Formats: sequence, structure tokens, C-alpha cells
Amino acid sequence: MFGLVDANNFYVSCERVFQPRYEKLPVVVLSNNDGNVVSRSAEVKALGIQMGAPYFEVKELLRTNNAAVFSSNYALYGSMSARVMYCIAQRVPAIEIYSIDEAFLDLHGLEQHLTPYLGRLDNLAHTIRTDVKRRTGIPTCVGVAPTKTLAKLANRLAKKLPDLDRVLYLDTAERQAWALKQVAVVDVWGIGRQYAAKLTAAGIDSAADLARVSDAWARKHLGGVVGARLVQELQGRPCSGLHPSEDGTLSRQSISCSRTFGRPLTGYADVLAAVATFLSRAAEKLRAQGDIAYVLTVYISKNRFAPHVLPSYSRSATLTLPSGPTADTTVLLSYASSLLGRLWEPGTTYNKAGVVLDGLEPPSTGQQLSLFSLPPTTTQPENEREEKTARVSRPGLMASLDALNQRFGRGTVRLATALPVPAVPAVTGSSSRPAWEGKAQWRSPAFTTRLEDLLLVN
Amino acid sequence: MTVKQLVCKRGTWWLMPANPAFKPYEIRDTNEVSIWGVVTHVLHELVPGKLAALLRTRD
Repeated sequence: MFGLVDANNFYVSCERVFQPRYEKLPVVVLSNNDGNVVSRSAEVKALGIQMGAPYFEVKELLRTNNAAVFSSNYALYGSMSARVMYCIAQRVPAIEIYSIDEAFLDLHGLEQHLTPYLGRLDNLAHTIRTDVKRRTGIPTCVGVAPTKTLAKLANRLAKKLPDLDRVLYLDTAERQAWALKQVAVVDVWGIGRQYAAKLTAAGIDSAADLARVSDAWARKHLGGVVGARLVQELQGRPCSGLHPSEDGTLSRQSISCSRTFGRPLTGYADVLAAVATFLSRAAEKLRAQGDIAYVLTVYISKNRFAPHVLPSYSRSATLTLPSGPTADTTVLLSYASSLLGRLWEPGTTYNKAGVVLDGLEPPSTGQQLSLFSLPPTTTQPENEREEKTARVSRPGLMASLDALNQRFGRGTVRLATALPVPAVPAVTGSSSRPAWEGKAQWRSPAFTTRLEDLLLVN
Repeated sequence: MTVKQLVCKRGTWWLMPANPAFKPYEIRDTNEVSIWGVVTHVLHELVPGKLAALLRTRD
């Protein structure tokens, strides 16, 4: 048996934990840069506001209904997510953290063992729900079923149908058949809009219809073995177990960091500062998982919706690092700035930039030595100029950098290139925020991760 | 939000303030109050004024 625990409108719930006055009121959380609605309370869903709706379109409706609007506060959501996952992990043998607000549970063998002590698996599911709510303040729903796909489906129904009391356990074939009938094919995990249209055209409307198709049909029309597995999972035959997840068991194959700027930028130094900041973050993640990267990509984009902007809207440049793989921010940055120089079109307005690190591998696992590079134990360069051109990795320096930022907060020690360009005081006033940083007008305090933001009771 | 002691007296529940300037609050309707958490730790300031100075910087 598998379980799926999913937090109800997670970002909104996080905001409500520390500001209970928003309980029962309509609340939305906006995406980065305050662009779109990414989390809606039940009251907002009742107003008919769709997931991902652009904020400017629903602004009036929200205002007339006295809704609270928050900018996204990922420091808070990340830390609350860790608390929720910690609670869940204490109750079951294994979990897979599937996203910031969802975790799969491995419940194999627990059907029998639980019976004398804790009752059925749905009792365990209720225990997990109450425990998470009591210890973190986050409301959740739980689906339990023989496969991950069915657990996901059960979770969906537990959320939609209030009679179920937030938990659905699909233990018998009858219950599974009933549940499959309740769900449209487009809402099945792994069926996107394209496949849904194709399936509806073939007369397959519900998950129950999909569970009835033959193996050969699924192979032919639903992307080969992936589709066949999906159908088998719906029939109750498990085809996939828990995967390594963000709880430290997952090693990413590639790391990227990108942002849309708070306002369009035309200055090279501003965009370079943004790229340097994203690169620092990506390199920090790279070092955290103990890898080094071989391939670096930098991209910049223009606003394709603005008038008089000509294609190409987005340009990117990729480089296989000539001096060999590294996790050193300074080395990576020297390459990134030359890549940015290649992409840069003077007189253009940019609104987004990003970096991607690929070809990740742990150090000293048989890397290809470069034909032209010096052996690693070469003598120290004689002067500073030479050191700069040699692009030497300095793991000790990076370790100190990470340790300082870990202890005193992110961004305590930065590369000078990543610092915001000082604005001309007459033009922009005394704003110390970097020009590329997104808008976040209504961000709540980081209650759980900054001492200054600690909740006070007077 | 406020910190109060939860007390049961002859079958009725009360929120008792430690500050004598405030009156005890009788819980008649359980929907009106929600217990957010239990106070388990108290931070003491060993260098007087440090914490206050830190908290002042938030505005």
C-alpha cells in the first residue's frame, strides 16, 4: 500500500498559521514578482478565481471581497514544508518527498501489523493528519491505495468530497472501482491535456474507462511503456515504488537558477550582477550536494509581450568548461561573464536571466584529464594576474564562503560582481534593493527562519 | 495573539492573565478561541537591552 499526504492550499495555510486572523477569509499567494495567483484559499476558489490567474485580472474581484493578498515567501514555505515532512516521516517506514507540499508514504506490510495496535490504515492516515495539524498547524488530506497513481487519485477525492473526512482508503476492489468512476481522465496523475483530448476523442472519459483499456492499446496510444504502466497502476498493480527525494537522498542531474527581473534592465552591469547572483546560488546548491559541474549555460530574455521587441526573444550560450569541471563560484563566474558578453545586445531591454549547471559528477570519479591543462599539483602562480587567468578552483575558500553564509544568513559574503550597482541618487533615490530583484510588496515575515521576524506576543 | 494560563474551575474553562490589569476570560464558545500552541521555553536576555535593540531594528 502507498499513501499520499498533500497539504491543503499549502502556501495560504502557511500564512494562516502565523496570522490566524486570515482564517475563514479569502487569501491568495502570488508567484515570484507578484505576477500570478499560485495558491488560493477555499473562499477564493469559490469566487471562481483560477489557479495561475494573472493578478491584475483578478485584483478588483479580490479587493471587493476583502481578500488578503500575499507575495510568495519561500523561506517560510520551505521551512514549514520541512516541519510537515519531519512529522510524517516519524510515522511511517519510508517517505518520498514529491513536492514542497506532497509526500508519498510507503505502507507495505503495515496492513497486517497495524491491526491489533492502531487499527486499519485509515486510522493511521487520520493519526498522521491530526499530528501534522497539531504540530505544524498545516491541514492535510491523505489518500491510501495499492499504487501511487491510485493513492494520488484517492487524495484528490479526499480533498474534493467533504463527506470523506479528508482521508480516503481504497482497500477493496469495490472502493477502487467507485473511486475510478468519480475522476475525469484529465485529472489522472500523468495524463496531460494533450492525452486527455486524445482519450476523450476515443470515448474514454473517466479514470474507470482508462483502467479498462488493454495493455497493447495503452502502449500504442499513451506513449509506450509509460502509458501501459499508468493503466496497470490504475488497475491496482504497482509499477513504481518510492523514488529518491529532496530529503537528502536525491542528487540532481542539473541545477538551474533563474528569475524574472523586478523591472526591465538595460545596463550590462545590472544584468551581470543578476547573473552573478543566480550563479552563486546555483554553485552553492552544487557544492551542497558535493558535486562539480562540467557544462555551464547562461541565458537572457527580452519581454516578448512588449511592443517593438524583435525576436529572438531569448538567447543562450553553453560552454563545456575548458579548465575542467569545478564547483568554484569565482571560476564559474569568469566563464559566465564571458558568455554573457557574447549574448549581450547593446541597447536592448532584458527582463529575465538564468544559469544552468549540467554534467554534474562527484569529484575524483575518473574525470577526463584535459590534454592542455596543467596537472593539479602545479606550483602556485607567481602573481595575482596570472592567478586570475589560470582559473584555479579553491575548495577551501568556497567551503569558508558557504560556512559563513550558512551561519550568518544567505548573502552575507558575496562576490563583488553580484552586488547591486549603486544607483545614481538623483534618479532612483536611496533604494538598496538590487534592480533585478522581483517585486514582493506583500511578503509576510520569515517567521521561522529569521530571528528579527520572530512572532511577538505582547 | 496572547499568552494566558488555561484553567478549569467547576466545569468551566478560563483564560487567566498573569497581568493583574487584565480580567480573566471565560470560554463560552469554543469557536471563539483557538489554542495556537503551548509555551514550552522562555528566552531570557543576559545582556540587558540587546534583544530589545534587535527587535527594534525590524521597523
